[in-house]
Amino acid sequence: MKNKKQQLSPVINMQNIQKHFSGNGVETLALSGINLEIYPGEYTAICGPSGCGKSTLLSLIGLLDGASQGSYQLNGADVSSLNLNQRSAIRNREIGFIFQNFNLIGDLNVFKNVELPLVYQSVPAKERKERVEAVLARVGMSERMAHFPTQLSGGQQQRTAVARALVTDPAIILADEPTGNLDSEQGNAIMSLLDKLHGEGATICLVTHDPRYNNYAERQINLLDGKIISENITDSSVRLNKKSA
Amino acid sequence: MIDSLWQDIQYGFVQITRRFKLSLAIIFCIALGIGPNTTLFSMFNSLLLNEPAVMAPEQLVSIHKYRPGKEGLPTFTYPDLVDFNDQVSQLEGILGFSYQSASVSMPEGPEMLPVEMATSNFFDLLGVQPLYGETFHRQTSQAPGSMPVVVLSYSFWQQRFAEDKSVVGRKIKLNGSDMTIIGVMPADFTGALGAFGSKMWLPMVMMNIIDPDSPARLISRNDNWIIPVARLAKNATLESVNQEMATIDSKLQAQYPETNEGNTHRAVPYSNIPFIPETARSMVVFGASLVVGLILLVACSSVAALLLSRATERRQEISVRLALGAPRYRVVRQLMIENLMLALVASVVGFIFSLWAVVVFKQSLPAEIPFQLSLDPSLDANMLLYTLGAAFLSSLLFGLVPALQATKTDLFSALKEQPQAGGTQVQSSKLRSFFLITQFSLSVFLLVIAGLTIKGLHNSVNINPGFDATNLLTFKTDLSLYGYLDDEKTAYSQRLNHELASLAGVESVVISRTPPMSGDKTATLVSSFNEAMEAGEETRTFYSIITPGYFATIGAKLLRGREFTLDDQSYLSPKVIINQAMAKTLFVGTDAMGKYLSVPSSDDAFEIIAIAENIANSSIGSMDEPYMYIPLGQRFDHGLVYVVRTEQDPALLIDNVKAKIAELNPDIALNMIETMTDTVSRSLFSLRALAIATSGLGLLALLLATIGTYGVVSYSVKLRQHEIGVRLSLGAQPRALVFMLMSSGLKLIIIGCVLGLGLSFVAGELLSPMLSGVGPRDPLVFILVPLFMLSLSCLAIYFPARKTSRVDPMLALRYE
Repeated sequence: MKNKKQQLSPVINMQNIQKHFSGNGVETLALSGINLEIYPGEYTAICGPSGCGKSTLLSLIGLLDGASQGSYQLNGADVSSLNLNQRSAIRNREIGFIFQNFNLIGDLNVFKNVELPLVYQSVPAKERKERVEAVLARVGMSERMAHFPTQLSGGQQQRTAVARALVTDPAIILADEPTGNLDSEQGNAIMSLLDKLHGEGATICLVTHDPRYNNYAERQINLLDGKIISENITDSSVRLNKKSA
Repeated sequence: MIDSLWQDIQYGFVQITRRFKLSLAIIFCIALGIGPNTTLFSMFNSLLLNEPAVMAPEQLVSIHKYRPGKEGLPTFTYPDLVDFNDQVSQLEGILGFSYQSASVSMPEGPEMLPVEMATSNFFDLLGVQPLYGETFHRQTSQAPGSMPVVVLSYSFWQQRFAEDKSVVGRKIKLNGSDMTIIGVMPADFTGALGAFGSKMWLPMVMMNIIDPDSPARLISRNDNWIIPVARLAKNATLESVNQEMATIDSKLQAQYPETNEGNTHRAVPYSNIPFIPETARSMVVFGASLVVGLILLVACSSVAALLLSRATERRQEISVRLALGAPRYRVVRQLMIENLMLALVASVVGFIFSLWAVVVFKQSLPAEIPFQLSLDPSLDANMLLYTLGAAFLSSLLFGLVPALQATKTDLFSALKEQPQAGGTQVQSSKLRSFFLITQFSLSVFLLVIAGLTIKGLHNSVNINPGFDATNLLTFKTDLSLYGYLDDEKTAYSQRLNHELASLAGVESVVISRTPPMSGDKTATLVSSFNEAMEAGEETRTFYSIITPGYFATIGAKLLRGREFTLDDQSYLSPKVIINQAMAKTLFVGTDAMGKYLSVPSSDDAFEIIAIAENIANSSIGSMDEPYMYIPLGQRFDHGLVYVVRTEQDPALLIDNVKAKIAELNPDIALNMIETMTDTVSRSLFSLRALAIATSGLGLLALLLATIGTYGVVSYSVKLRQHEIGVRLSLGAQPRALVFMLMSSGLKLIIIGCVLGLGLSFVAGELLSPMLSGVGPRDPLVFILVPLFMLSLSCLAIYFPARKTSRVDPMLALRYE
């Protein structure tokens, strides 16, 4: 790991990040003093109890929201003070999202849902088709391309969401409680899929409060009351053992 | 770009079909909003924008005559027209025409039809060729009565001659004179003024068969009876034409100072309706556009409020798109494409509505108008542009704010399916309230205007006109048109009177120049003589010519004195009956009976033999005008109206009356044969049309507001289902919840009503002078309309509120 850090620049580099929300005259500090670096190919889990700021941190990493203070570099570019459209463009290019509730568009079939990020990148139709078909094959959803979300099981919906996150070949995949709406069998399958993707070189940042899935990641960042309180790095052999256990 | 647009269109189609009921409701609302606008534009398009089907219409100009202190009007006297045509070089020429009516003898009997008297250069200057035969030309004879020919319009030829090509060369009888049909014009040619066409064209030199006074009209420089249209010469401009016309005017002023002093003529851009002054035309166009524009605004507000509610439902989908990297403008564009697709469908429905509405309007026009109005709506370039423009504008009006609002979402909470952040939700709710208030205030405004107009119509219908309109039949003949001399007219009238009186079911027959409610008015100046027989100051008064028994026949009262007798028709001792208003005006504080009047056109002093109660002589609004009645014989005139009092429904006697007249002279056509109740109804046409239009539009606004309220409340309560579930699980009574949901909706509606009433106060001030006996703040209308609106709104809110308040709390909580 140290070796990797010395050789590569971080995909995510956050320094002294603060986030506070204000409303009705009350200001709530959600995150403070966050320093975080995620390197290419890393599988990071952000862990912590409910309300500790995991999802807020993920939304800042994913540029769904902006930090109140601090600097943030994504793939070496400063993204701390971008406008909405600039953030959209970077999200589209650099980030793949997987949500707890899948967030598929009900009126679009599997193919169209996965194709959507490429449409916003103005990728030509022919190339879109090739890429979508390839990524659906990768997640084992080739047979369900014409299905609509309501015709799929929870696991299949989440596989579609994974395919959508992968289709633009992003710098990082952000997975926010990806197993939260799945039973344990389907949850395990999704975690295995993410593990497989990591094995193929994907950078993954997972948010979960389920300790069963923390160990899939090689690095765990523990949050409490909006602050990083500890960080564990798991050796890959140990990680594998824990997973089998 | 095209690829992504196509994607948006495809997705828009999916959205529309998936939410079919909602899409249908939006299309319905917008179509109701666009329909009146398209109808109005369709009429404007036919009347104002359609160029006449003539050669190079862009070279045509209108000519206005300006008299000292008066607005310019498109009129010319015949001699001035001839002089200008002789002297002008910057124009290829000035053509002139005049709309008239003529009795045309058809196999089924004589019929009064609109005809157009046209100068001999009419067809040459317009550059039109006949479909069959020929037209009259500049070179043809200018001598009065020397060209007994007619050119038929295509529609007349089609309807009355079944497209028989051999019609050219045949004779047709107009006002009893033989005229030769020399040609038939093509279908698209309606004349020099687009929509205002005619059944046929006659040379102006044949005015003698139309108007017995025509010899005088053809030489008078005071009688402005001709509508001019001119064609610019090559390289001429309006400026160069006007310079030359000023020179000609100067010459004519010097030559004819008595008639032409101060008169000038100016060429102005061509207009399809030159005889309506520009300011009046602009006011009508503005007023009508404003009202139908308000309807569109109500419809758009209604749909906008609905879309804002729906945007909450689509929040997750929009957030996903934004999270996946769609720029905001792309998502807004996609939503706007959906809206535009809905608006386009609504525009097509609106256009179909306008086709129907124009047909209804045409059918409701009074039968007797002196021209043939071509109001046929067609999907030409103007109409297509307008329809597309209406679709585009309405999609912007109803869709842009909701689309912008929908994309201004808190991505994080939306993707986590958490309730929307306070600020965005409050803004969305405020916008929804704004649209609801807008639609209600405009609906109340339109309904109050409708209420005031309906009340005005009701008052007009119920005003006692001073006579008994039931069982009266009237018809007009003009014996002068058939070559009758004065003695012959008298003999014919006496005989016809006798024949009609002998018909079964006829009580009495009288003749009048202008019977009650006919819309006609003839004025003269009179003055009263004092005891020393010195004439006082002249006063303008209206008059009619009547025969003995007039007041008894029409069911009017004489307050004092007696009816005319046959002896009064003598010129030796002229007699007159005046109405109350005139007695009050001319004889303040003295008794008018037995006094004398001086009439400028007569040297005699007219003795007042009776004072009649005021009656609605020309219209309902003319009750209080000074009026006098002169016996027929003292002042003979052409174009008299027979008034027949019947024992039963007068409509049943129409055929018998026609038969009697045909017995006496089969060529004589009856003009405007109708019952007096029909005459009264026709006289109220404008007011009735206004009342129908405003009440129709008001009801439309009401319907739109109700649909909008129902839709918004249905969506809003659905979105509050979780809250309702919590309240129910905590023990809230469904009735209390209904009250809670209703009170929040009604608060907005009450604000809308108050604003609408405020607007109506202002509009009522402008409208009330046009309405009989209706104040600008008529309490009945101003109370009933908001009450009605509130009652309907309560129903629109109650049903969705009740439905939501009865859900299973567990279901509601699980749903969330």
